[in-house]
Amino acid sequence: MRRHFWHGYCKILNRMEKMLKELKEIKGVLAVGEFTDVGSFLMHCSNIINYSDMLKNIDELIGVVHVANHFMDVMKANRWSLYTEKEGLYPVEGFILAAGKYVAFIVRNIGVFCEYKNTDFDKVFSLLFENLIKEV
Amino acid sequence: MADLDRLMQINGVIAAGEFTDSGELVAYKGEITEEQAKKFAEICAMNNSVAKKQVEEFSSLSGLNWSPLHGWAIAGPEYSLCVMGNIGVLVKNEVVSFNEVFKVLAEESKIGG
Repeated sequence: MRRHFWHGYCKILNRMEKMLKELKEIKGVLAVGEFTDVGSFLMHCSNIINYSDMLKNIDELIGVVHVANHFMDVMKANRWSLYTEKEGLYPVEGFILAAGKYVAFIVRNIGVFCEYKNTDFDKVFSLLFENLIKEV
Repeated sequence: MADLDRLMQINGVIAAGEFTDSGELVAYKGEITEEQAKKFAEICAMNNSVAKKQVEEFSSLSGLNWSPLHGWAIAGPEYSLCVMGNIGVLVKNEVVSFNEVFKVLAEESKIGG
């Protein structure tokens, strides 16, 4: 029983690590992070070189973005489904915010931080959805 | 006024609408009723104003350029709602190209290009 648990746990960790690495390789991706539900930072891969002194801020920022947006979107999508009777938008699985020079993708507990001009929305979105929504 | 027909031509877009800053529906096209479109306009305008405040806070917190707001999207299990400026589209996740949606939304809303 315990062996099965550890086998499953390691499989999930390996998949997560592989996904984070794949995300990091997409053009335009600046940083990738995994967060807890209260916004604590778990791990990250980063392409940011020149911003190294800002990394802590960026990690914290993505964590805060994730938590704030998660609650906001659940509320919005719930209301949308309630009023419009349009199924399929709830529960909210992810959120994208594009502003200034950046785009943040948040799906479940993964945050991806990208350059707005160079981001391949389809690649990031499908990789996150394939690994976090369809596989779970 | 935005060319909603252009947005409706994108594969996977099931509805498109334009709204004012105060949440009034300007126009809509697609597989939703007028009542649904009005709610859609209200929610999008409300979310726009929250997102604008959020990005200003992110900019001051991080010292990074998070302003102005270009747009946002929420993704459900089947559909996503994508908004840029005062234009929003409801899309089917399985078939839509988000690159195309955001490109056309940016051109039609004349922001974020």
